[in-house]
Amino acid sequence: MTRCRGFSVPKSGRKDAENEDAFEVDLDRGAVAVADGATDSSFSRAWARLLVDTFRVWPLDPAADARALEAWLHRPQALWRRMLEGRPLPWHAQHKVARGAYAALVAAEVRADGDHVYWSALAVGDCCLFVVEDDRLEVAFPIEDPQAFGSTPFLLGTNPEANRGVADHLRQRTGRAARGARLLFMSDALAHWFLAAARGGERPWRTLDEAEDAGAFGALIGRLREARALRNDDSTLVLWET
Amino acid sequence: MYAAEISRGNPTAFVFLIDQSGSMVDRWGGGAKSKAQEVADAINNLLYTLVMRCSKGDDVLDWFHVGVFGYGASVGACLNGAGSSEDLVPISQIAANPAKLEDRTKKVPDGAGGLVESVVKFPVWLKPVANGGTPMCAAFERVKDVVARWSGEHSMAYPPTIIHVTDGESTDGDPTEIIEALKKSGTEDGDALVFNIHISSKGGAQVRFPDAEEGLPDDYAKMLFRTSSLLPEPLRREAAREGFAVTDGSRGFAFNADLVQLIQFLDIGTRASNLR
Repeated sequence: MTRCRGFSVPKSGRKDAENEDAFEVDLDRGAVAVADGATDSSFSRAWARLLVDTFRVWPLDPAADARALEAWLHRPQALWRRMLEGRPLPWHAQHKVARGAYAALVAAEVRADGDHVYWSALAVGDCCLFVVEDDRLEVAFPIEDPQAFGSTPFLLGTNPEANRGVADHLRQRTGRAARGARLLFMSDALAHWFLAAARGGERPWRTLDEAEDAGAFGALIGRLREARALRNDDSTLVLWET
Repeated sequence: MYAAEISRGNPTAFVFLIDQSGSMVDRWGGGAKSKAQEVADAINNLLYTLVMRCSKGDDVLDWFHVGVFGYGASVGACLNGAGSSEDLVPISQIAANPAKLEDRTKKVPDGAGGLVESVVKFPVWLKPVANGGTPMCAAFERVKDVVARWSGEHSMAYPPTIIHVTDGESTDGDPTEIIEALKKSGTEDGDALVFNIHISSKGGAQVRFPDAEEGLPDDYAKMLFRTSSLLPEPLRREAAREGFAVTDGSRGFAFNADLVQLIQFLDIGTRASNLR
């Protein structure tokens, strides 16, 4: 039976309202999205939220091309601008809004059929999907090498012109897994830890099994940060069990 | 080293030290602007960049503490309003207290893929000043005290960055030893970083992050190069990523160029590569 749970915690020292990660799940449709708003842009929390909400309400085929992705972005871009229209802002905030907000996105559709689940995913930036089957990491998407995580990825922007090069940065993949496989969606810091551990021969998905509820997830993240295994960043996990 | 996380609880510091001596009235590189105007523009641009990095929604997050000091007829803090004190102030106070907000016309994205002209308020903190001698040693002594005090209170912080802008002719001796002592006023995370920007009346091609003094036009430029800190590895990595030809010997030095990149290079969280 399909089961899904998701959690998100802000950077240590920050409030929940400052968490710039967002996730949405639609179990009936089999849709999952995780977005991570960039620290260096303003109102990126709202932008990340709009991206995942839009994916839930107005589906985008994860196999669609870059042009379709750009067209799909028009709606959340308009909603983001509308949110700020007429809002009195200090000079620096006006300048920052003009530069736009940025966020990474991983979004997938998952469909069960008989003994298998079929998934189709797209990603721009460094939010990740991992597929674990038979206690093995079968898929790391879109980043396969933990050293490839950096602090300046190409991200989806609220200004359409910022996304012009998106075709070069859009990653797409489909796959099939046996029933019982787990799909794990993460924002970058947690994904970095997960991938480094997996490549190092550990089984980090077992560690994440501890995250039965939000409290346990928060405690786990705290422990990993304490051990300096996890960078202090907003951390999000959506665990989809087939 | 140079790995401390920069946060509101653990901010870093930027200190700007500006040559405001009489020689700064000279035209820069044969152009229309005086060196003093050029330097004021550079500092305003650096302060603007610092504020923009910390601007988050309606707020400015205090990731940086900032001071601006000038030397010429006298040595001291040289901003109006916030920042006029001898101590460093949180960047939010700098953002809230420009000397004026100028109207400038700028092309901004219209949200539909085009550009529209728009009047944008632009902050100005510093006006050009050119008066008196060039007491560079006295100026670095003052900054050393300020930085040492700040580092003493923020021992776990990413080390302070001092950006010094000058046309290079000290009138109270060779500041090399004082600058070396200033570098030692760092934190547990590393020595303080001293970066020099040399604005020359003679003009000449822009140089950023050189790794050798050959090719620099005079002894002043060479002294400033030698006293500039080596770029720490994280900054060097970012500089290389941005296309600068940097080596292990590259220093935080610029000739006839600004160093606004040094602020962009600081890692304070994810920054979109497509944000320009």
